[in-house]
Amino acid sequence: MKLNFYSKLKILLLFCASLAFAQETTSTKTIDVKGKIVSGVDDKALDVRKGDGIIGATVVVVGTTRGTQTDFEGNFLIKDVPVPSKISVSFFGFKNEIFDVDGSKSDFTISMSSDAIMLTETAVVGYGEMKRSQVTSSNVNVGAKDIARTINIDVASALQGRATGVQVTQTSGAPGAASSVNIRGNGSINGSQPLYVVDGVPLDVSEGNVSAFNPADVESMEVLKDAAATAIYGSRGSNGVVIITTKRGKDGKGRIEFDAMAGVQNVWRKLDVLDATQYKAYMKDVNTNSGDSASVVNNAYITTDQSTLAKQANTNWLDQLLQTGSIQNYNIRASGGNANANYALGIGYYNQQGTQKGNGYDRYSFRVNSDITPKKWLKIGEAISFSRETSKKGIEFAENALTGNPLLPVFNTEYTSANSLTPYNKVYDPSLPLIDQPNAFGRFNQENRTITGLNDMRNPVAANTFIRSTKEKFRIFGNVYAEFDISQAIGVVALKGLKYRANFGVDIFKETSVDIRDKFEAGLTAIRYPRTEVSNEERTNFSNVVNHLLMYNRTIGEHDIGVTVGMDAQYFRSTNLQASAFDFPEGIYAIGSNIQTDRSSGYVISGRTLENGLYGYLGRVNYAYKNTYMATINARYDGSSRFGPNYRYGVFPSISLGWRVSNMKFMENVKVVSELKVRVGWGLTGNQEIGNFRYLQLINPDIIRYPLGNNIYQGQAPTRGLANPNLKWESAQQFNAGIDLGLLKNKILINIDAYIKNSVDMLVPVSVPALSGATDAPFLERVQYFTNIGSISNKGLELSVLYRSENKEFKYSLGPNVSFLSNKVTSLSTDKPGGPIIDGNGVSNVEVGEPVSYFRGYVYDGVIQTKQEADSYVGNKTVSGSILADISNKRKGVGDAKFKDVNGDGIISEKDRVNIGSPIPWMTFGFSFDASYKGFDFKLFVQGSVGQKIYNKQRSDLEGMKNGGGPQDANQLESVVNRSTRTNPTNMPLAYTNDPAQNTRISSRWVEDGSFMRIKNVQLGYSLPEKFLKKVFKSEDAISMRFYIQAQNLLTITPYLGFDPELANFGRDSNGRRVISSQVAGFDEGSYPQARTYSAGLQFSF
Amino acid sequence: MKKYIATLFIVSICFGCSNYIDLKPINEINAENFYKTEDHAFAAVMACYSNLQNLNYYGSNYFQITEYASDDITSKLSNSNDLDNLNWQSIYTNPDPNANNFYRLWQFIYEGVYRTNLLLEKVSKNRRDKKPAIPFLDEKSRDAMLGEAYFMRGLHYFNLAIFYGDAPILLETPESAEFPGIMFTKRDSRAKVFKQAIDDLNLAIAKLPAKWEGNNVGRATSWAAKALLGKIYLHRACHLPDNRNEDFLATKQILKDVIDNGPFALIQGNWASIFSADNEYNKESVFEISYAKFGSNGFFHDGGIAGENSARDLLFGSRVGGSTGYSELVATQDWVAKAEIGDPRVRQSLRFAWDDDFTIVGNDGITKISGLTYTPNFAKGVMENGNELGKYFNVKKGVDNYGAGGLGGVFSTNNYRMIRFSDVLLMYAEAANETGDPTEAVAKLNRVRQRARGLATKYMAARIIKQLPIDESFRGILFDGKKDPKDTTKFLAGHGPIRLSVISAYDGFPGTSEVTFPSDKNEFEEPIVGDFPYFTYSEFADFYDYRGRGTDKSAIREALVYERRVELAFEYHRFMDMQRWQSLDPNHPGAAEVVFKSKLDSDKKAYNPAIHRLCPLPQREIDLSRGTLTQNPGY
Repeated sequence: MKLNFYSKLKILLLFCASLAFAQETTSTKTIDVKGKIVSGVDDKALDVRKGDGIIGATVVVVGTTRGTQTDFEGNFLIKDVPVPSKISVSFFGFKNEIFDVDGSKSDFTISMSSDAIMLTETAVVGYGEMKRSQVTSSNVNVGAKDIARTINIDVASALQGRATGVQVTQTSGAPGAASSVNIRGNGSINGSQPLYVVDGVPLDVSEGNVSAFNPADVESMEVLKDAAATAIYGSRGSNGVVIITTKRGKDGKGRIEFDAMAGVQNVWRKLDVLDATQYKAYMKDVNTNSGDSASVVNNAYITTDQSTLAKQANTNWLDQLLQTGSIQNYNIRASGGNANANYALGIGYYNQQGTQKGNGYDRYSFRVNSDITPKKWLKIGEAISFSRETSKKGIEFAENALTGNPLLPVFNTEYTSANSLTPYNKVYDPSLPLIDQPNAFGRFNQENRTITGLNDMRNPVAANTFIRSTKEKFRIFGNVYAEFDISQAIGVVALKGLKYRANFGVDIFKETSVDIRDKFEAGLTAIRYPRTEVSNEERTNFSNVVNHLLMYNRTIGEHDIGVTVGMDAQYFRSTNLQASAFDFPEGIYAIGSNIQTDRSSGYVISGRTLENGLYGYLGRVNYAYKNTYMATINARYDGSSRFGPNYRYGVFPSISLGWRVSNMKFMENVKVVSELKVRVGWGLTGNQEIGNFRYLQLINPDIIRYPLGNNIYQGQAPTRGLANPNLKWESAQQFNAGIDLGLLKNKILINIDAYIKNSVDMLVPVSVPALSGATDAPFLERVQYFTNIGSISNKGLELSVLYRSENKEFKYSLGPNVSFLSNKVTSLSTDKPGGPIIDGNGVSNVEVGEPVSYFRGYVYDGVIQTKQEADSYVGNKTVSGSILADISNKRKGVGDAKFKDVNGDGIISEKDRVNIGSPIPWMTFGFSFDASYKGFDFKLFVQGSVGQKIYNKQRSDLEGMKNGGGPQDANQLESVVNRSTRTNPTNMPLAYTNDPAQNTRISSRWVEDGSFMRIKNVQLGYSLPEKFLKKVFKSEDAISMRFYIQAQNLLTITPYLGFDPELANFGRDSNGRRVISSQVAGFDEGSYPQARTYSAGLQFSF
Repeated sequence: MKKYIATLFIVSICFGCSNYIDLKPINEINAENFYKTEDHAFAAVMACYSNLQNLNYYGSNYFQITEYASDDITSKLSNSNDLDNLNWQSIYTNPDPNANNFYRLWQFIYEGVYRTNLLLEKVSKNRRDKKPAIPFLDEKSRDAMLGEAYFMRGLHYFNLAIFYGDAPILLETPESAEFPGIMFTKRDSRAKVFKQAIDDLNLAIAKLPAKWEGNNVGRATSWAAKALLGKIYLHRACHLPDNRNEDFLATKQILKDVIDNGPFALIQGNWASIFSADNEYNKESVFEISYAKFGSNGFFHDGGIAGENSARDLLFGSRVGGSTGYSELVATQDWVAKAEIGDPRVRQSLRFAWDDDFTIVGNDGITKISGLTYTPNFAKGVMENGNELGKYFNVKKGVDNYGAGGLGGVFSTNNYRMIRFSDVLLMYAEAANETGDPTEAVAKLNRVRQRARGLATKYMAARIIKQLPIDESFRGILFDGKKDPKDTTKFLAGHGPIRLSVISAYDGFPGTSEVTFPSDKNEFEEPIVGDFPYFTYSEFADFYDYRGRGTDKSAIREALVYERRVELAFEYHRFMDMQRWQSLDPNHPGAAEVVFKSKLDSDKKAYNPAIHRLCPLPQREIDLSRGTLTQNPGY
């Protein structure tokens, strides 16, 4: 049976070969030629080691149809070979070898070397690997070297500026802050973060963060941008996939690597606010313009009373919060292996003390990866990591710090002891002088206010000290696999390349957050915690993944065939338990400790468990002919617990084609082109990030009660809208076309991709008639019903170039890359009524015909300069009675802002709010320059984006001069010294109390160009000569040592006025917490600016 | 080996047995795992009641629309900011179809329809979802719950009929909101909507128990259903001319049953105690919507969309004296001025300076506090800054710290007496009058009137005892049938028991309530709170003929208009009464047009019956239906 099959196959192959080489030779003398074909290289991609016999290589007598294939040992025998003749040996991934048979020798050992650049490199694809030369979709690879070039808090940040079409944003400059990643634009308002797959284990997309993984452990990251590649991930593929592969041991002697880095950090930009003198002048203006003469007379701001003046401070609250941060990173790694086993072990420690006092993050990580081949047919291995992250946080960055009244002091010196348990609760004694004293925070109390006429405010320094939250996250993550080489196992050569692989992975993490509020008073009305409070939240996430794959990879003649089929199932569970309690004795902050708390004071305990699961079958066929014509077909049949029974399963297919033009005959003479491949692909992918059980009608009891007698009864009714059994996948169709071009023997590599990605069936809330009756309680304004009708179109062009010089001494490479993107919402409803989706911030909108989360506001038209101008201003026209033609209904005069009557209806109303900017950059770019000369190396990496607008909400608070609708008597940016007065108009409007003319309304006045170019990293290194090291360490083994200094975020060029133009898409959740949102972008409420870091490091390996 | 591999292969394929995706919510109750036990059914019933008490329905929105539109209530413009915040709209001061409160009323009526439909579908023996019926220990409980659903659904359709006229009738819950389905629902005629309300109430009467015990007191009874049915018939009789007489007769018949056989009676003595928080579910209450105190922030519980408290105190309540009410809804001067002299309900429906926590300054009868001046001119100008409402909280003791600076003034925990027995009596009287039975009409009218008016004399006596000045309009008090002596105090000092009679300052009003004075001095210390003896009018003729018009229909109509206006003031009836009288007869003394024409307040003169007889449908609903829903004329 076995032989039969084998023979038949051979006959078939020979038949094929005969068609291809239909030419017979005539010769008389013949010999039998036997030999062994071995690999001349170690190549993981080709799955061979140096000296191994190459199985299944094609050995053909040139010019004849006669030939054979090598057996399991790489041996072959061809009888009756004419002498002389040439025999060619070919095997995919290796350079063809031709040897002469002259009759002198009949036993040959031919060592094959691997093929040219790109050919042998493997590309990681979903559920497997492929030869990069045959990849027909748009993938980007970022390798360990690139990752090591920057200081990366998390793995994802290493993608920033390197992968075209991938927009990475640091969510904040806070220690441990994660990155937000958008691949090829925002494809859904319900979540547009990509899927991360670490060593074959997909992470929970909604968790969306890879901070637990030590970047030093990462071997490579493959970004699958194109649906042709991501379709195999089915319902999770539409926002792109980032496949992270960690380092494994290599053959050879054991190797130990050590690297250490330490540095200091400062915020790269600070905002200047008014000092005490300027501030008093400003407050005086506020009062004058507000016509509040009474307050002017009694006001602290114009007082000449020396005793009051003596008490006034000149505090810069931001400076009080900032510090010089530090960063440290240490890694030790050991790796090695032989033919039967390899191992890699790594330990890492990362520590960062933030640029804001009290903030910090650290991470311990440990990883062990190994592969063992106990039998020829069996390979088993694992990749397991353990990590512990802790972060400490005070208040949100700069919260209240910039608006803080500079006249108020930070510290008090003396306290009365009445009603206080601790020094923190003491009351300010106005009779004593104010002197800084650490750990002593006073409140600004009523007495203070009376004396100086100052309004109360929150003391940000005190708040930052007494409100603390810590988070600790343990994570165990890993997988084990077993891979059977079926042909080896059963000894059937014909089945060579058929493998079965079973993978089991888990991702378990436990996150404990403790929020502590000490008893303190840091302001009279603004903030006052008369009781200690602790709240403790524990979240345990569990996910396991199981997949079984059957893979067949074979090169038969000029045909490369790869088939993968399998199933994949994954389950996620998240359990959380939260408890909070009051009145702990200060200093003891643990729920569960043996503390008598006052029960009546209120415990809050809550918790819940969420589950979801995925189950699917997947398959891929890739085929290449002559390594020139290529096709890949992917498909996945995917089911998700998140969808209604009617649409629980979906099919996600893709196809892509490639043509290596450079292999064609007609290209032979085009010497300049060394590589040219054209690719096209189409695919359909899904997005299941719509939350759990949205298809069901949930019954929410919280808000329904009815009292009868002495009882309050719980009522139960659906309050989250109607059921939608037809709820289904959001999906995206993507068409991609690309060119890979190598010029001048691949000295220049160019990669161009263009794509159109249409995300359809996006789940959007649709207004339904209230008469349907199922009120969606949180959204009274619109009874909502989620249905699949929205669509977004993203179109883009990506270009990357790499030039490598080949100088012997002075080597350098240049690598610019640039991506263009255009994003537009193409529908939010088809036949159904729907409207724009307006985020709670009042600025960000999602509307048909506009980019996702564009800003909608009035068009600012400058400052009224003269009385005549005021009189003719449309907003001062009378509409009826005393109503003016402006929503403020307030007459504007010199120094007030003007807004445009865009629709020309003679009224400045809500209807005049238009698109005043899109937060989506039309271009993002990166540029890297590497050079080395002898032992020195220099690396420069620049990154930036162009064209995005930012709504600078923070500036509207800090330059609006509205003195109300926010913190009382808020301090302003120094720029307001340029403000108008009634008699002296400038280009900045007036100061006012409560802004009656609404000069600070949402308008283009606060929209700024957020383009920036940032020198992300500059590094200068020196490697000691190996000879010298070998001598010093008396070692024979390879040894290397490199020192370097680097600067991160050295320079940022931007017209933007806020803290940082690199803004994460923060929205707020229902609890008012800042969360990454897909509906908000470029809305700057005051971010934690990126740190500028100077550091030095050492890398040592032996 | 081969087998081994083959087995593995099969295992890999068979992994399809995995149950990873057939998940159900663990934490959340949903339509799949609920409605299985009697407790679940009960929770569904509570959800229906909860809808009624919601701020967007009877908890606030309902009375914003009905009271502010009437001639009884105006807003205290001094707090115009508050007014803006509340975004009030009345039918004709700002008849904007985009206005929030018209939308909310519509929305929450239909939420009620949805919840009652859901209850019927889930609790019925033959469930619409084909699932097994919920088992009940006693089938009567199931019937009662179904009856409650019909009762409330009937109430919702009644509200739709009177507010919006034509309205979609939905008798099933929509399966989903998929297009087009529920999007394109047409309006049914007002006649059909009324008919649906009546049908529902008839079903409710058949299923509801006559009485509830213990903690169940407060759920709808068959008597409540009958009273409500009578009310619906009465409104339909007015609004729809087709079966007018039959409807009046039906009103009369069903309310007679309630009056004669029902468990209700008028509370004698302290009229104000009807509304006190410690007197909920009293014998005069036919149906109440229940409120309670929940936590410290019930009113804004979960974003202010539901809770157990009413916003009544917030909007009606005083802002002075440290209270947190908005005092947005205050009585019009018209309401005060039109009241009969000596009608004690005026005193007990408004907030007076000496009530509750107000400190009386001096003994001169002029009380000043926080800018308020109280002039004890009983009928004219009660408060300088607005006639703040006292009903429901104008009781010195018994209500949470209304006006005391606490939150009691915001979070009203006091039940709303939706139907009171006096309302039943007056509705019956009206139906009787309209069907040519003046004797019955006057008899029931007088039951209400006598109960209230009996207090007047008592009140006067108390003031005399307290040596507070008697306003000139009360010169008409006869002491032992004689005219008021010049020096009352001196006169009384040496006098034994005396018979007081009150004579109105207005012509022809022979108010003759009498009291023997003083029987026990202490009795008069607290003129409003204590128990009063029952006073009867000496003669029927004393009343009906007070303007010399005899017992003709229009005279009794006029008397009923007055009586309803004062007896049921600020209980959300007045405007809807004016609307139905407008429909019944444009010259009816209570017809909206007639009333508003005579009004002094300029802001309410714009009433146009062709438009304002109905509320505007929410524009949003019309837009969503792409015009399938039509707007009421004029908006």
